[in-house]
Amino acid sequence: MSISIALDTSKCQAYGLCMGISPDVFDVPSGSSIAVLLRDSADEDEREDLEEAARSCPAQAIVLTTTGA
Amino acid sequence: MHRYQTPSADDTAYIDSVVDRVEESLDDSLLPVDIFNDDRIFAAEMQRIFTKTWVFLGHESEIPNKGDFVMRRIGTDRVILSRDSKGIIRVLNNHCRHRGTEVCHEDRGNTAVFKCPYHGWAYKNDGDWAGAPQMNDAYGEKLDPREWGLLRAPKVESLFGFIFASLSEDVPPLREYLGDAVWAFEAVVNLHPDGMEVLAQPEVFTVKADWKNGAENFAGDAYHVGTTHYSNTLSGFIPGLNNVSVVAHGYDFGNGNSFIGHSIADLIAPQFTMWGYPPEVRDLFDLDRLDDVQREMIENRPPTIGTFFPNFSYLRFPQPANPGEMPIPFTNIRVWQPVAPGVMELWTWEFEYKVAPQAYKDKAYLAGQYGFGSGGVFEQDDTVVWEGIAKAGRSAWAREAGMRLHFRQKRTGPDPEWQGPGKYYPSIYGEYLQEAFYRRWVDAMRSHNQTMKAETKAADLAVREAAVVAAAAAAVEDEGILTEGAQA
Repeated sequence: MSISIALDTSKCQAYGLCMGISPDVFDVPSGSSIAVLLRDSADEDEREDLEEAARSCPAQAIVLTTTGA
Repeated sequence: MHRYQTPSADDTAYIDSVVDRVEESLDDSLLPVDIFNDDRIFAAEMQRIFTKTWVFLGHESEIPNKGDFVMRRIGTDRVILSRDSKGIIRVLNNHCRHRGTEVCHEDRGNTAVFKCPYHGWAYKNDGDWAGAPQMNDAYGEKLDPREWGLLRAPKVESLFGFIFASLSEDVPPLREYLGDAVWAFEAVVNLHPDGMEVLAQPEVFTVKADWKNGAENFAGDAYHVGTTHYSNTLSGFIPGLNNVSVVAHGYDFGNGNSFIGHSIADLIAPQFTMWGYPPEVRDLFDLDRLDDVQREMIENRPPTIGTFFPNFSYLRFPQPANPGEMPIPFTNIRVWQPVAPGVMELWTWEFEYKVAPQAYKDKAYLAGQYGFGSGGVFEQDDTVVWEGIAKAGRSAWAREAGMRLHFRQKRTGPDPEWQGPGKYYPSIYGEYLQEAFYRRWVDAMRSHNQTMKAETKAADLAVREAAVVAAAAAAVEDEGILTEGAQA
């Protein structure tokens, strides 16, 4: 099982809370008006942080999907 | 639709004079009618009472999970009652620190973050500032989370699961504030270690009446029942309401906190001790938690109705869930929520012991709603008569005539043999408890002045101290000496 991470760029407003919670996955580069994904998949052991990031996103722009083995 | 003004400096003198007049009138067992539905009194009550005392907001069972929240009010402010991500209960002002608009527009929910609909400032569920759109470009760095977080009520405490908050730091702990009333409240809501729970979301409806009239009524008015609610006896729903006040008693715990008690077994039937709880519920209670006087009280003359100053009230009485059925006790908690002069929201919750069988909870809910839901047969009676008082409060004629209301029932005094805390009045006649409520109102409206005076005095003292220091410094310069007095 792994987690697929997607960012809805039509919603993201570069709050940067995601970057604070999962800095290995999210970044808001200087001058960027949206966050960027440093990678688009993660292992189960990162689920808790990623779910926290998705729940905390004020723009509700983070989409997590569980993918098969 | 609702008017609201904050008091000006001129109003302060007016309000102080009204409060003096109320106290003088109470000394004569009278009450000026113009304290109801008055713009300036209302504004002063919001400032002097509702930002200064403990007020009830909700029950822990309404926000059991981390992230749960419900919207409530303190005075005219809407507040968020939230269980934060650490499980701590918070009371948050609902206005954004950026431009001030209302942040949360839901009555209840579960969230990690509250987001303002104006520019998008976001707050964690503990109120801390969390972020803003285009954080880096718009602000460069994160703002201080607490400095720019939602205003937090400085005091939040829970008593048997009932959550109260105060906007003032300067209040005693909740148990101390409620004083001896906790002794009676414990015997009402703490008969099982699992406590009570809310059976459904509260009902909220608008009544064109002054909040004080509901609070006063539940503080000690057993006398109105035979007249106001007589239609319930005429219809056969509840027999014997015409003389229910004969079996009513009063418990005064001071500071405007009081209960009515009823000898329900004398009114209905011998098995109606302990509010008339049926065996399947009563047998679950752990009465070893109580002292002897509490046990005797709830067995024979249980507290049935009560008010904690300013606007929290309680009601537990046996009623049929359907016409013709055996009456069963329900527990209704209510808040007389001021929203404008002469206008309140009436918030009511049905409660039951968590451990009670579900079938009993369902019936108790129905019984409570039948009588005291927004369309309840008792609720309608009460709210109609209270709306009339708000009209009297606004009446030019009544004001011109200096109309005062009569609180002069015959008084036979408290029971000298009473072993419990506070005072026990075997007869409810005497209107002691209603008078006590208004005396507490006078104190609360006055204590604001004392605070103001203390602040002024402190400021005065500081000015005088500064003058002494300056004079001493001048003396040192002039004479090259420093006296002991000047040093101090």
